[in-house]
Amino acid sequence: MAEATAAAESAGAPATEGRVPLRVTGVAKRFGSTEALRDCSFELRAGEVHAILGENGSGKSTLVKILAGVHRPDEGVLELDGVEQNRIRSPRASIRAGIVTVFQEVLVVGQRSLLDNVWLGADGLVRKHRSQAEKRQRARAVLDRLLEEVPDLNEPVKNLPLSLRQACCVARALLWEPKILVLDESTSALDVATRDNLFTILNELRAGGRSVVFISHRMDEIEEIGDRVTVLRSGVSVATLDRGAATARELVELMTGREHLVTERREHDARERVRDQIVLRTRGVRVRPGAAPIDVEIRAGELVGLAGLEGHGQDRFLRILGGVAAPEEGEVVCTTRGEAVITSARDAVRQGVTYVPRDRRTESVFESRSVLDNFGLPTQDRDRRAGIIVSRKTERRFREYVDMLHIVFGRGRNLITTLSGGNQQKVITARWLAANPAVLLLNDPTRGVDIGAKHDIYRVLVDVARSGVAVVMLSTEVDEHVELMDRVLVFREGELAAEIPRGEATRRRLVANFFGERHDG
Amino acid sequence: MTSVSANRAVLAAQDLQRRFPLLQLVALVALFVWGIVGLPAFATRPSIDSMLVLASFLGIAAVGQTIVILIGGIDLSIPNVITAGNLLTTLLGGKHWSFGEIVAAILGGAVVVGAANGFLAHHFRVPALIITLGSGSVVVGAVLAGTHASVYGSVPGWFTHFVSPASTVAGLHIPQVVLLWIVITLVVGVVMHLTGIGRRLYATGANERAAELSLVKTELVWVGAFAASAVFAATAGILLGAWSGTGEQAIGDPYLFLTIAAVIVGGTSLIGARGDYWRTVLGSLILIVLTTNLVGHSYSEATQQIILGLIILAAVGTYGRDRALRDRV
Amino acid sequence: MASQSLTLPFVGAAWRDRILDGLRDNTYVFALVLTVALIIANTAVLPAFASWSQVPSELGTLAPFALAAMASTPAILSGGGGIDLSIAPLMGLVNIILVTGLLSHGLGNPAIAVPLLLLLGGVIGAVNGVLVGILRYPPVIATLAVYFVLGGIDLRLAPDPVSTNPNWTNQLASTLWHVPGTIFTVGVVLLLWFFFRRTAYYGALFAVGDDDVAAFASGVNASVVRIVAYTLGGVLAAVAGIALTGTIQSADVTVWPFYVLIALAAVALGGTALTGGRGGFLGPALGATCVYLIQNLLSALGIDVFYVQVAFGAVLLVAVVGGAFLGRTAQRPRGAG
Repeated sequence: MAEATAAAESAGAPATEGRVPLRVTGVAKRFGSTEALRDCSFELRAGEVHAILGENGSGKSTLVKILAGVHRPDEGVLELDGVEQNRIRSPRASIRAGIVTVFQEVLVVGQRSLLDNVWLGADGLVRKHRSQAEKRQRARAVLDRLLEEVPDLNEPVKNLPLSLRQACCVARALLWEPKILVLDESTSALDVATRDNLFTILNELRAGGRSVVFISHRMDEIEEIGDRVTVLRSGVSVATLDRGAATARELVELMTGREHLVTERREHDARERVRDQIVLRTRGVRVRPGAAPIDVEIRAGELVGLAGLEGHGQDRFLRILGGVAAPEEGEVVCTTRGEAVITSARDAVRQGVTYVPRDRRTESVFESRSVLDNFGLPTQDRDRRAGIIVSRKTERRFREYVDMLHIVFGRGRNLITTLSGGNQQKVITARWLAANPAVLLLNDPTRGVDIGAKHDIYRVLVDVARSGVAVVMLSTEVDEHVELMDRVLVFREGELAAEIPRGEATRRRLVANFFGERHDG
Repeated sequence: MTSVSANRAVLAAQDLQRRFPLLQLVALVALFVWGIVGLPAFATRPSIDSMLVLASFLGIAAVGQTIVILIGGIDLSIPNVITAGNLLTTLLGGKHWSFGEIVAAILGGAVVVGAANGFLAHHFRVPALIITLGSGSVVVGAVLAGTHASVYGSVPGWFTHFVSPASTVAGLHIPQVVLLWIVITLVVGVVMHLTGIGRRLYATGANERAAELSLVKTELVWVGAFAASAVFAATAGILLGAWSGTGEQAIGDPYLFLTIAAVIVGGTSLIGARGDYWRTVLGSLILIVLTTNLVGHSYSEATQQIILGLIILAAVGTYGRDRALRDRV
Repeated sequence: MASQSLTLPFVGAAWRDRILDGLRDNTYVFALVLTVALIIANTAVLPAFASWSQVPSELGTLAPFALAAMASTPAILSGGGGIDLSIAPLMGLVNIILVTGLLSHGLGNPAIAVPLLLLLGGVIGAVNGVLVGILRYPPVIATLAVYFVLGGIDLRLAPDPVSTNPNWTNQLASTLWHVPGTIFTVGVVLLLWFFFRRTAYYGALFAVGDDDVAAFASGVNASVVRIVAYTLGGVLAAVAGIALTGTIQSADVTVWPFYVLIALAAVALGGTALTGGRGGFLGPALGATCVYLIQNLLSALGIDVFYVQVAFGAVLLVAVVGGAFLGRTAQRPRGAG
């Protein structure tokens, strides 16, 4: 209900004061079967920092790419200063129109110098618009403002640490002196000092009547810098609020919707489900050099959540558990069948530890292969008869998971890409369930997946845990931890910051731990 | 609205083409009909038999190119391995090695060369193009130097008969080498589509990182694929030795780009492990039937090449183009 | 696999890193050292090699190699699997048109012939560029198709070798105004390259070659950059075709196939990564020089010509695998890394 009123407010609010440098109305974009953005509207005023807030997969990045000229919307209108735009067909055109974007990915050309990267795209193909001396001087001026210490401008960017590379992208955008600056999660890789400097610069831009579209996961940043917030949920802009008009808690509710994620909570279920037997243990595992070692024990039948802000080590920790990444120090011991140290992914699977990767497209899905092939690859030896893989056997094995996970698909021999994102994820989950794991590691399995598919995956995870499998799952959605997990491990700066048991895990406490704030009730 | 349904029809056609090389089949039949109509002796037995024999040389040489392209590589050493196989067959035959020994020696050597190609390209992440260019040069140079480019030698009479268009199999009028090609096609088809080896091959080509995470030893796949490529090229070389009767220094040269053309015209894409060997079989037949037609109509070799180039452009235009930059941001 | 070399002991490590870095950044060093060694070896075996009367004609023979290699370079630099297989047949086409079309019809005046041929090369290169940059054909396939078409045209125009009367191109392979004529082909191209490095396009080319997505998202028009790269390659192929005419003084379709793979090999030998975004013209020119010198040395030693192929292949493998080995610290993440 709350979001309905809020949406009504935003729709009704007249653009009273000043110019509207950018108005987005009813923008939608689909990729194949995925609706990335369904109905997004908001307006950006002159001299404001406008935050866009939404879960993973809510369409933020698609919105950014439309603003940046990477994609063209299927429906809807972009207006710049009241003039409808249909010429923004490339990033170059977008930049010319005064919109400059800093993308989530750190987009630098590694072999080129810092100076070249800061000025990337600024020259034409024929003529250089500025002298080398001027470039050098202005680059230094901008970098001086952003960084405590400016590295050699001739240094190839590939030799710089991530934070500096991201700063290079920000500096590149600032040098365009944009009317509208779009920052897509651009602060996540910056170190604290640089981020503070950036905020000072943003304040100046705002004072100078320029506008900023600011996208961040971090509620504290949005509270610090955002004038207004537009909340996106499942590709729809559900509300635009002024600063301070909603508490963090209310914003989270707007982002996630109010319904409970897990349909039936099994409060008492955990006691009988979680067994005494320890299946996986880490001994002095360091995720980063210099970080405190992590010792964790995971029991059969347990649901363990890994949480934290993006890039705080939980991802790496999960990969270490699965033998996919090596720890800086320490070891992972699997105790399903005696004691065995896991040193490789192959090792891990042999011990019954399977890892479901995060990024479907680059790490899981074989786009040119069929549904059945995608399901059966790691376990195909079971379908062999005299060396020949009998696809009927694969199909029979798959059938079990189709029912369990409610996988919707045409035929097993259809391409996996004919399935929706959620169903693709279910096939990948089935792939690894079929390996009969004792420990199932999942890296954000519900990322970009619709709510129905999410429920199916939750239900199966609980069922699997009940049968004695330990489930360790990294999730970027706080609610999943609150409602699903027996125990949540919160990571901060490469260290295990807190271990929160079920019952004590509230949204507030988790989020507080993300930011390293003390829990004060 | 009409554009939507038209779009859907295009999608359905693309889906059909993905499963089944319809365009290629139609093209082959059309070319064949053109031959029958336009050339008096085209559909006679000797003509068809010699087309089949020529197609089987190309087809066998292109097995490896198909496999290697499916995993995202390319093999430029094929012509050199063919030449080496050809020279060694006639030379060693002239030195009274037994046929079995000759074949074993040549194929054994081919395995080593191919495996080295695959290993170097994968392990050091050097484009296969350059590795196979270098290794091919070494192989053919070594064989030419070792044999002093001797083109003298001989092959057993039965073997010459084996590749002759006039040969028969159990009384049937099928050239024996064509039967060999059919057997190879069936075996390769079964291995690629129905065994774990084939699945691993396709998985490696489709998404190497995902394959590695699914416990496929992708380096082994590369080594095996290039080894297979060299073995089939050497086989083609041995067969060509029987065909020519003597060694020829340049016998492999046309196969450098012809094998790639057969794979592409057949409909296997250079991107993302889309395609299979059946298509290359069709591609080989199309190229040979087309060439026979053009020769029959006394088009010069020059015109043949120009037409081949245009056909490649048309074929790749309908499928197998790269993803747009905007989809990769 | 990751970062194994970060803990080299002792003070020497810094120097070692610096040397390794230097080799990584100046990839042509291997070819340069090899070139110097080969020149010494050639002179030792055949003192006449370095005599002033020999040098112009030696350079004349080298010129088509070096130019073919340089012509192959822009496509490779532009990244995305960029490669141009049609350089050699384009050289052949320029050679044939120059001899049979221009010189024999009184259009041989360099002031007319040269601009015409460069234009022809540029147009054909641009066709490649459009196929790759806009229509998104895989470069190997697009240029292979153009290779076939050009090869066919070459064969149609000159099925048999046609020799030519004495003409100005001969001076390019000997001496012109008392200096080796190669100065006016390879020399001019290298000189232009050093000016080219100061242009705006140069930066865009290397940015697109190294990371086309980053360049595109930053507002660089990657399609146009690629089209221009292939066009430049075509223009250079035309220069190579003119230099080729200088040495062979005839129109001969049997000559150009020799340059197809040699050109690519010379590029790789010169240390230019085939993945794009790194390198220049000096490396390919040096690589081509190595190829030529190896050939020259072995024939001077009276060694079977076939060993030239062995030596050449082996040097190529050592160069690329060695280069890859050096670059491993900066390698992209592997499957399960």
